[in-house]
Amino acid sequence: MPTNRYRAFALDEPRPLREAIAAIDARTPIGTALRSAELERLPLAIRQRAQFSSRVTSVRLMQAIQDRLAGQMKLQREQLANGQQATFDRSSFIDAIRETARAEGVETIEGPEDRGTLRDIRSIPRLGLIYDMQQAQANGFARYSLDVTQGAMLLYPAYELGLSTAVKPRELSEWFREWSRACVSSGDQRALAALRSTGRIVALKTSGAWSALSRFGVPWPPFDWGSTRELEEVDYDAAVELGLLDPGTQPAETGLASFNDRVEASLTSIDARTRTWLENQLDGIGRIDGDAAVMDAPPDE
Amino acid sequence: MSFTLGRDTVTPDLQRMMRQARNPRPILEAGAKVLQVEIVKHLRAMEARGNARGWPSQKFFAGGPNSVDKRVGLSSITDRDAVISISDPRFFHHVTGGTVRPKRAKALAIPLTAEAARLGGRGTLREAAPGLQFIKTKQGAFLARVLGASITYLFILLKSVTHRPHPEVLPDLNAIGPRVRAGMVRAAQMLLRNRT
Repeated sequence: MPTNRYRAFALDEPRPLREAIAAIDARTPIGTALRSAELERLPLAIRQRAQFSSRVTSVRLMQAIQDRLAGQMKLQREQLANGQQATFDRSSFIDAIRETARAEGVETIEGPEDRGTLRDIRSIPRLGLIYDMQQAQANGFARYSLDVTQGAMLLYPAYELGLSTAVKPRELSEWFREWSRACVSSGDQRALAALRSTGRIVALKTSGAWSALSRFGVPWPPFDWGSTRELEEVDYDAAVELGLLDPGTQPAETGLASFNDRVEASLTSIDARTRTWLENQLDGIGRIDGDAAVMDAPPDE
Repeated sequence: MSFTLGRDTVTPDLQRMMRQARNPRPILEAGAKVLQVEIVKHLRAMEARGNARGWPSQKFFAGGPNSVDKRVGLSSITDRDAVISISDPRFFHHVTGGTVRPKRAKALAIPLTAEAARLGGRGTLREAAPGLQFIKTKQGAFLARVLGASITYLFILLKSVTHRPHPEVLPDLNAIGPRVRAGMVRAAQMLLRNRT
């Protein structure tokens, strides 16, 4: 039988990635006076569901950021003032958000030395970083959602941390140290053993070590600001050889459910002191209701 | 650019296995995953070819935060088919070619040097590269850096640019097809073995 008779697929125009849209749409724009370091302390549930940026108090600006990111993910076209339509891209994102920030009088700098730096919401580096990170997080979630399906897990049950494409990559020894810590904190003894015996940063896709490695608490890259390391697929046979799976076992496909459980648990596991701090921070923008974070609808400004 | 992996278009053997498996979706998921892996592999190979002019890579196909390879994923899945999409209009345009006209400005700024190419994607040139001067000559309009008597032409300004199609950047579906089917068969065998 000719192999090309059953090509198994037909070619068509680009379509949006379902889960990337879901990741963006799940976010509620909020304004906050918190700085980056304080925002990183927020439970994962809030970081995954809120659209915020350090010291940006304008909900309207965050809404503009959210709308443009969602428009790009949905492959929509922007209606321009001159009557034409254009696709969304990084350059137009930076232009449009700078313009909105100026029109709204939004400033995040504390002194003239901050102008044009990452502290300045009107700067190209800051807006470029917001665009890159938001795209990476949404696309990362989309890929992870496919990767942890039952079918994908049967063929490629594990990940390996890939090579850096950065001009000045971080020392590999740093990653080894961070990975050892992540394996220990998540209790993944098999990944730790694989590191010691092979020097490879590998683990099952469903391992908690990936989230523990991430500065952002999620099991997909980027794992830190500026990190270019991606996750490479490890197939079933290699995963068995590395000791991550027992021969003949079928990998569990609890990935996305397990991640969602962890997002929910991020609110239940906070102590009373943190909860009080959090409630103060959320004052006016949301509240902790039982074990759920409820984000209030953005007010009309 | 999207690829539909259909239950009706796979080989009879695979169709039989999908009928035997009570839930055929994992087999389609496996096929979708192999397809995604193969497309990303192909995009990395495209990136590795380097820039035709020898300029530093813009990481269009792979390796950058906004590369096409980051936008390859599942668009939809049912028990009958799975759609994997390269969800990037820039890639679609690259494949099909066509004429680009300025939408947000009066002209398109086409880089003439590696330095100019690096300035792309950073907002308007007025802000990404302040101080450039508009110079009109018989050869056309340019944006240039002027330092005393030294003029470095960085961009030529054009009313439109027509790109030729590049179908060669599409993955070879005839080569990928057997790998996708092999992945689906393996997944089906693992599922069926587990049931017996």
